[in-house]
Amino acid sequence: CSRLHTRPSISPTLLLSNMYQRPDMITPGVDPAGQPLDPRKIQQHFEDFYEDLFEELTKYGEIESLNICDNLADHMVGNVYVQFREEEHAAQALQNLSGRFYAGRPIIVDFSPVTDFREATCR
Amino acid sequence: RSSSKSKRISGFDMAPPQPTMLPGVAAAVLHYLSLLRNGQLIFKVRLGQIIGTPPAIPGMFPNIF
Repeated sequence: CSRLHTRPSISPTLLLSNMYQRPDMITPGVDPAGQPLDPRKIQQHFEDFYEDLFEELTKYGEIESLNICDNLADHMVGNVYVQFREEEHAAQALQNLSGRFYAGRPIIVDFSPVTDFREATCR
Repeated sequence: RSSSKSKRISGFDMAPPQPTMLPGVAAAVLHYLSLLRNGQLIFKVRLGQIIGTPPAIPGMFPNIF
């Protein structure tokens, strides 16, 4: 993969870059303070994140799919792909999410060329 | 999921914590004060972060008296 991913000017799919950060992202199974993390807490953290996202994104239109990457490598870590039924809903979401924050970090949002997640592999 | 469950606060619009003071500005002010108190060529640096030698030319100090 060249990592030179294309950014279309319009698409039903949005990419929210590196938005999900698992609590044990520095060392697996350990929180940033060095304390062991219960896997159930990591799961609960993920579910809370998913719920926050879903509740926010449904404001803009019907969601076709919502994918969250949890790569352990540095590439695409925490990327969120949300595909709306309608391009214009994706455009509204893009406009509304730009410049906002999630959990103290800026939201980086762009259109993504991915429309079929079964075929979505990095080449 | 039950709607009666108390809602956790969403992470959306949670801004990063704002620094209350710019460290660079504070350092500059304290440094300047120490010069005024101690007179020229006495470098009583309390911040532990000012690295370097004192200016060699006394005339470079601002003459405020």
